[in-house]
Amino acid sequence: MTGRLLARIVLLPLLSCTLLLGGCWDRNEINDLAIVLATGVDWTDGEVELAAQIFVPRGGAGEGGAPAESASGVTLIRTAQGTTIAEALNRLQRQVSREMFWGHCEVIVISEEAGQQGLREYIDFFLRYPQFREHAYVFSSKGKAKELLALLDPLERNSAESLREMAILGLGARVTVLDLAKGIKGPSETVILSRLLVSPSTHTEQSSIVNSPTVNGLSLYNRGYYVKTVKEPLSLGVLMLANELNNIILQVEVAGIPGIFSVRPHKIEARLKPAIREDKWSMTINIETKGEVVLNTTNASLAKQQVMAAVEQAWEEEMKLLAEQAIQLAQDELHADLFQFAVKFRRHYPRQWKAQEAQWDDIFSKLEVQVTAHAKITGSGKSTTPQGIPGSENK
Amino acid sequence: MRTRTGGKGATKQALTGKLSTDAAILGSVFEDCSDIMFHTFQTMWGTSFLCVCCRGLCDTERLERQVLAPLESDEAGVLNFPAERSSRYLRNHQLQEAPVASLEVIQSVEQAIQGILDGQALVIKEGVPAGVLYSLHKPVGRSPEEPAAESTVRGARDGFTESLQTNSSLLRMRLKTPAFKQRTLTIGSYTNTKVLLVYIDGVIESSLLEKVQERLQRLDISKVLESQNIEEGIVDQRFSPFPQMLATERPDVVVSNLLEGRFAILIDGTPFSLIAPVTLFTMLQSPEDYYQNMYMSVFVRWLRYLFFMLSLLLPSAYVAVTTFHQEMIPTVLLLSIARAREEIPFPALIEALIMEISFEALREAGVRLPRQVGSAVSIVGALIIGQAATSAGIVSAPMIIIVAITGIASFMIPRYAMSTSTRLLRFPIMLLAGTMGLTGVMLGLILIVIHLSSLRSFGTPYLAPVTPTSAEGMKDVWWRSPPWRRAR
Repeated sequence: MTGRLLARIVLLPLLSCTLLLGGCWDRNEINDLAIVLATGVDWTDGEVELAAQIFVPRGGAGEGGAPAESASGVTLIRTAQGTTIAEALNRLQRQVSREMFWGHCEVIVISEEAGQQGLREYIDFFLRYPQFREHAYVFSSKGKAKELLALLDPLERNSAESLREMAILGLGARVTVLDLAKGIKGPSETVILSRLLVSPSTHTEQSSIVNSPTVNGLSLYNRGYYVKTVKEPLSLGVLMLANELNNIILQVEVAGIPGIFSVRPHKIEARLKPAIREDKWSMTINIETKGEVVLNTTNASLAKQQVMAAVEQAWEEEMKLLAEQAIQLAQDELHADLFQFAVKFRRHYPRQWKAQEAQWDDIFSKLEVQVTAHAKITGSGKSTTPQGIPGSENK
Repeated sequence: MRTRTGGKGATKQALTGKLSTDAAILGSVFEDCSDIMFHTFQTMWGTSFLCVCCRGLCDTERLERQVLAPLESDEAGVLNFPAERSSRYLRNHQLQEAPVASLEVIQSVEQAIQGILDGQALVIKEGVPAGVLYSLHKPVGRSPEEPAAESTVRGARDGFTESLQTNSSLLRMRLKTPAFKQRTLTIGSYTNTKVLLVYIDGVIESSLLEKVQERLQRLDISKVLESQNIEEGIVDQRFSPFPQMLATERPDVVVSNLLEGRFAILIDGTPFSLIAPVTLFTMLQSPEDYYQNMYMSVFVRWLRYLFFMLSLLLPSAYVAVTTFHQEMIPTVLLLSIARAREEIPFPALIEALIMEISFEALREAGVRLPRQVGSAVSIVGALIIGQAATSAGIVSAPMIIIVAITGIASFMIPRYAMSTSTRLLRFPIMLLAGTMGLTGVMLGLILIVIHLSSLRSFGTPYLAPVTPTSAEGMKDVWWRSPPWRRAR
């Protein structure tokens, strides 16, 4: 008993010492962090330029919790150049008095110019550097990424927040770092990114940076390099086949009825069905869509079955057209498997895929693609008959 | 049990029957005890009597009316019998015919001393080497009130008092069965406190009963003022921060536990009784769990489990996450914490320690201070901690929230002893969190679990019925089965 007691008396201080010897190792107070909210990658003078949007923790403390600053929050932008992205990051740290913390960087913007130099280096870095999130959303930008980050969106706390919200809302393609890596590494070797630009200032704001970023078209990447920008309506087809088309209103024109029906789809789904018959590879795409009419500028009443059927048919045609244009772009113009056909073939025909993998580019260019569309109008909105026709009530 | 009476070796003697000798012996034992009353008197027939009692404890009015008056007015003269006819004669006669419900014939001086100190009245007849002790206790203390520390919305409103008799009758009122047993022991060499070991025959395991009886008898302490004095002496693991006996003021809690095969110890002079064996989960149960709707009980019970963990871990988790694992905080929350912490001069650990220590100090001050000043302390405390500390930039607002939630959480633990142990353990875990982050928190938790799984309360594992697992016991841990689904 006394031996055990003695052991305890000796061990207790010793063990406490080991605790203190740990010495708050790895400790980092929040006050000592520069929290990066968004990262931009640009290409300037033949070097990588890394931009970081850093949160400035001002206001709020003290005055009973009432934030002193405006809701837009305070951020600052710091940029640095380097021959590699890691070097740029290293130089960036030299300009900031606190340790840069990338764990909350939820948005990464890569300019098209930087994309032309290849994404490989960036992907490797974002997946290797410990702090970056794999679930950060990736965007492409028309101009400099740092200019986008510098915007002060009046609606959100900062532009990183507005970009993140846009990605969640599904404006454009929702691509994370992980998706980006998987797309490039996968058999198709392509990726589609939403393309951002600074919306042209329409109203007289105090300064040009008080503005919102705008999603405008898509940037297409093949084999890790930027290849092309597509805009509406072509981008709609691309998004549709990538199953990323959300929050859209389509204009449908019916032959023989002057005017336009606007349809807001609830659901747009493109199902890819690969087939190999007698060594002939083919792909069938079924587009399934359901939606509601939100505008009718024609005189036709949606209460009539044949009008409804005509609208549905016209809508189907339109979807088919969108899809075919997108496929044509991929097959004939870019020779890039934008819609991950290769993934489907690999999944459904693993043996044939393995044998023919090397010839995939050839196969893809000659691939027979069939598009079928099925559209269903689930509602005519709040009204059935056309509204606002002068004198229609008198008939 | 040793008895220190202050007598000069006189205690082993027997009563002589010679009044002058007996009076001298007792007089020397009770030297300088002004509350002990000696009264010698003679009847008209010439027989002498000695009456000794403690003035405060013995009901002298009843003594006079029921014992002394009949003796003195011994009209029949039966008392004038020759005294040499021994105590057997006395046993059959007058002294025992006094209209008193309970009396006892004794021979030794020691018994006489005990009886007098207990509030009984001793009467000795000249020439008879024996005495009679009359139980003429004066009712002392208060009547049962609602226990302050364990209130329920629905349930019995009476609580134990300082009087052992009242307490035992409160139990008997609820357990009208001869299987409800009470064993009396005397503990404390100076206080000679009466202690009741109560149990239900046939429900309790006899080995458990023997174990506790043996431990109580082996207990060698000088004073028993509160149940804690006994608890410390008889628990399995004396150095554990966790309570291994449940202290309660509620008779209904005692009865319910007795019916579940536990024993209880009632102690004279304190309203707190001790119940054992207990487990961690019984410490987290409130009597009200059984008095209200089952679903509500289960909800409240889970709420309690959650807040038990919060009260133990919340400040440490906050410190660990904000100083080591910032990526775990949702972005928007991190930004507001960063904004709030910007002006704070201390690291999060120091900030947490300042707040937790001042909270504990405030609570202690609130308990200790006289009632009249208590409200002033709470106002000052709320003002200083809540307002001034944040506006002066010493403590950040999120930390105030954390400390407040932790405080509420510790008040949610129904057993005060359990809530004190979590309050205590919070500090080492906070230090671990401050030096090693969540790894440290886990380390602390692992140490606590190791300790808990080795802890036993009178042979019952402290983590039962979760480990060792018993499906039957689980019914009262994870949820609360209705009575017909439970074993007993």
